[in-house]
Order: sequence, then structure tokens, then C-alpha cells
Amino acid sequence: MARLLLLVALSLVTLAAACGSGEQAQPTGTATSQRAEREATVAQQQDAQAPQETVEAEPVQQSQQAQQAQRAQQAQQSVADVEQQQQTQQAQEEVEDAEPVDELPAEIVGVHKGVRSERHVLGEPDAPVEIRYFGDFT
Amino acid sequence: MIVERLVATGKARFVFRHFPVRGDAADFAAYVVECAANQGAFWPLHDRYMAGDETLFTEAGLRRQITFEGLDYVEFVTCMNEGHSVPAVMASRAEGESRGVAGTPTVFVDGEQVDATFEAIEEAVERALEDTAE
Repeated sequence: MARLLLLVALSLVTLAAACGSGEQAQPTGTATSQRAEREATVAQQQDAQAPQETVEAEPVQQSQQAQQAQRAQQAQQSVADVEQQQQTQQAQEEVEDAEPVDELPAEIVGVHKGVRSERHVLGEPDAPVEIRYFGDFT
Repeated sequence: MIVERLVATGKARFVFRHFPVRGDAADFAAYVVECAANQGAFWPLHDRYMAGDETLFTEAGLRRQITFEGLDYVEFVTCMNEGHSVPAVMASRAEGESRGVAGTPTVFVDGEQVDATFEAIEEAVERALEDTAE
């Protein structure tokens, strides 16, 4: 009888153990499912992030292009500025070169009053030396 | 200074030749002076332009100056409008080109080109006088 009871008890323990291991397996499966769900979510998030990164990268490229355009424009502007400066400098040099020429006639020729004058000629027609002066009035 | 020290002293005569090289304004001024010269007023207008009188590039300024010199303004305007002075200016310019003139002022003393400074002109005149005396 005691053996019978012992067997029954062992069987119950065995059954209980079997049931316990079955209950433990279920949570394991749930955990795997949750992990899979998390992984899927992460993958979705990564997939979702990838376009964002692409989208984020695009403005950078646009920004770089804009910067290049800006640099090119600045370079062109610099060239234009340099050309303008050169032209201005050249014009100033020409003016500086021209100024003494413009000032020269009034200084060196003088006025005709008091001197015999004919059309284009000042002085005595039989003066020993001729000064022939080619000029303009600007 | 040329007039006072070289022309008025009888050492030299001074001959002005047109050589307008600085655009339309230079041509215009040359025509004005030649049209004034047609009425006997070359040198007064020459002196005004040489003095830098910018009003002579305006109609009002020209009218005032031409009238002031006692010239007939209608005749002057006719001369300008009909281009009567153009041949004289062109002939003067052609003469300069034949002498190798490329800019202004260009000065010759007895046919020899000299620097357009009073010192250089005076020196050339004195040298020419010495050559004449010899």
C-alpha cells in the first residue's frame, strides 16, 4: 500500500513537473515572439530612419550645391570687382596721364591778347622760328 | 608762356593746328573755333577752350560767348549746322597724321618734334635761333 501511495505520489510529482515545464515553455515562446516583434519594430524604425537619413542627406547636398554656387558667385563677383577695380585704376591712370596734357596748353601757350594774330597764327609772320602746335580743346 | 616769352618777343610765331582725338566733344570744339574763325574770332574762342570753359559745350554758353565776341550768332549756327568748318579741321588733322602726330599736344619747332613742355620748346627755339644766326 505504501508502495502504491509512493508510486501515486511520484506520478503526481512527475505530472506536476511535466505541467510545470509546459507552463515554462509558454512564456519562453511569448518572449521569442516579443523579441521578434521588437526586432521587427526596430527594423521598421530603421527602415523609417533610412529615408529620413536620405531626406536629411539631400538638404546637405543641396546645401553644398548652394555653397558652391555661392562661392562661384562670390568668385565671379570677385573677378568682376577686380576687373572693375582694374578698369577704375586704368581709367584713373589714364586720367592722371591725361591731366598734365590737359593742363599743359593753357600754361604753356598763354593768351593771344597784345600779340599780332591771324587765323591759326600768333606773332609776326616773318619770325625766325616756327612753333607748330597740334592740339584739341578737351 | 610761349606767347609772352617766345612770340611777343619776336623770337617765334605760333601756329595752331587742330588734331581732335578725344571724341565728339573734341570735334565739336574744333568746329566751334573754326566757325568763330570764319568771323575773325579764332583766338578768343581758342583761349576760352584752352582755359577749360565747359560752358562752351552748351548751347546757352556758346550763344553767350559768340554774342560777347560781337559775332553773328545766326551765321555761326548756320556754319555749325551745315558743317562749313569740317573741311578745315579735317585738313588740319590730316596734316598732323602726315607728320606722325598720334596724340595731343604734339609740338614741332622748325619741323622738329619736341617735348610738349615749355622748357623743351624754349630750348628748341633758342637752339634754332643760334642755328639761324650761324
